Amino acid sequence: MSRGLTLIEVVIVVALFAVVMLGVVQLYIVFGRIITQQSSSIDIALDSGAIIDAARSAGLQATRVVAAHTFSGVGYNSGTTTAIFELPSIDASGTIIPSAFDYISIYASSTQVYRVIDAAGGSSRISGTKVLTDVLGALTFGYDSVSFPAVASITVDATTSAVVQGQTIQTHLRGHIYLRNL
Amino acid sequence: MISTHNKRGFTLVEIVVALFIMSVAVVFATIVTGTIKITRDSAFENIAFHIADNKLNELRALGYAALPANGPFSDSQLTSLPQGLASTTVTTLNAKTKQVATGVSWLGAEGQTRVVFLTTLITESGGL
Repeated sequence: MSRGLTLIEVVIVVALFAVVMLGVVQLYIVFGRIITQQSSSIDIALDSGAIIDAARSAGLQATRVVAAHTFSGVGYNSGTTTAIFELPSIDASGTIIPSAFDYISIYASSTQVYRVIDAAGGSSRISGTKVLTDVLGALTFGYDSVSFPAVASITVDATTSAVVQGQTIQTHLRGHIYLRNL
Repeated sequence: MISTHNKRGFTLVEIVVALFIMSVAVVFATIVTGTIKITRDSAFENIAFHIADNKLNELRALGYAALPANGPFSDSQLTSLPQGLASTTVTTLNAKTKQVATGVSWLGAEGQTRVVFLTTLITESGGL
């Protein structure tokens, strides 16, 4: 004996399906929010690390901090949000080129942090600008001496922050960098 | 409404479908909570690594003669870690070389103690 579904059965099935789908959509939205939040917090954590690591790698190879340098026509001055390192140039085989210097500046500009490299001729470093982060909260360089050429160590305080669904999340990292000229 | 056979309870297919829907929800929930824990832990690991790195660079910069004895050290960033502790271990390798390890431990998201270690060699004549 074969018969179709009654109207009431169809209505119940549609209603149940709607309830289940509502639940699924809700889960999807909530999980989507959590994942956005998680990926933002990963981004800001990685970016604060990237700033410290860039400053450390420049500082470890630097002979000194300079007060000012001109990078492709634009003048920069070392200070609380800018640090300019002077590094001995190294050729492709890893040998130091006598009396030639590369300059690396790490500086903050609104919510961005940039690393600019000005390499001397023959140096294996490549001149250019790189954005280290675009979610900067605050960047502060602290020097152990008021005279830049006498600086032997630098503290870097990097705070990155992001607003996710109306909530501000931030990470702060501090790096203490010792120059090679110590 | 006359049924061809006497129906009592759920059929196998109904149970399978219901279980499938519920297990999908459970799997999603597990993945999401797992992600939250992993993110938290990796953020802490990042901080711990930088504390250890800072200390290691400080010891390298200050040189062989100033190497401290084994023991804890303080760092302003330790307060960002749950139950964060930091220590240095200095081992004499030979007359002119010491192996220095800086370690940072904290309480991980799963309740277990997590540790980050960095090691270097410092020689009497070396330095940065």
